Amino acid sequence: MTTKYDAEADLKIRSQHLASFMYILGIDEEDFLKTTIDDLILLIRERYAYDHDISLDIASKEYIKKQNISLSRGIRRAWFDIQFATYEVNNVK
Amino acid sequence: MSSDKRYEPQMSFDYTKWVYDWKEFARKSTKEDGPESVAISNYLFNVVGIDKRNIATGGASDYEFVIHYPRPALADSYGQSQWMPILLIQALMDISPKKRILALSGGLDRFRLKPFQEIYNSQIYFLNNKKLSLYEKFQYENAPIEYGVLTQQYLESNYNFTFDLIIGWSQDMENPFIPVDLYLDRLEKGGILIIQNSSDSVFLYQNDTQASPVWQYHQDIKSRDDCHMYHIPLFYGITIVVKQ
Repeated sequence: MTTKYDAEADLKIRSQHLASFMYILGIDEEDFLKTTIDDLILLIRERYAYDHDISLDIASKEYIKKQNISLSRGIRRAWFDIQFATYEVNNVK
Repeated sequence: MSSDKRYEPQMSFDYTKWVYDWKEFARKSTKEDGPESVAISNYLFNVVGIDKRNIATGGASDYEFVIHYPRPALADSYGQSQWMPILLIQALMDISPKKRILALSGGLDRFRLKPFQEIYNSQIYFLNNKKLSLYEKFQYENAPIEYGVLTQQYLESNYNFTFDLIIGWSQDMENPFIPVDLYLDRLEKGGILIIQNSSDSVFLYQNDTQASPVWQYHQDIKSRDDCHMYHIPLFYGITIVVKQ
């Protein structure tokens, strides 16, 4: 337990979350560092493609939509958190 | 109900009989919240250099620098719906004061936590995340709280470190690697988990379907047999979970 924000601990757990998302998407570990957020979002859109016509909702589309939404949002938040924590580790004493 | 389109009481709340000077506290909070939010957004985008696309993709929806509460400076007949969830949480504390509180979203709840500490002498813990860092940098000065910090790693590995109130926001529950069960397992018997914004957050997704983490964590809570869950779709929506 600490009394202040711990940027290194924050960066560590957020990086684990992003790595977990990458594993789910089937990205090789050796490619993690060269994968950008654009690569990840485009991959999700391509793999979990759905249209927005709710009158045609069926169970399988619901499932695909859910994967798309959960992965996109989770990855974007993890990326945002990592950007922040990395800056704090490198610049804030 | 009158024939008006909107039913609102003519008077705002009567603060005069309250022991704690909520009116002054609320006025001060509102005055300080705006400049603090501007300073936070400046830090995030111009100093840290956060990708601006986050505004549309989860940044702003994490509420680092947008609406905070309370917002009592609206006209008397306007702010009621915003005040209700605030007062509901206050009422819960009043009925059953909580001594050990874990706040998941840092400074986002500072306007609640500070009075809790001052009125009920509650012990406050913050979860280690960027919102805590922003609180320390930009919000602590105007709303100082005595607190301890728990890292996510510490929380996950210390099963016996429990609380009687955990207060967070919907986005705190939407990470698939931090299931809502983690927080519920850290609640003492009779403890309460408060999830704010649990109605509005669904609009960030596709609200005509069940394809949303908001739906998912409510389902997860419903599947437990040791909790009662109450969802109140008032204003931004609030979900209250009481552990048996």
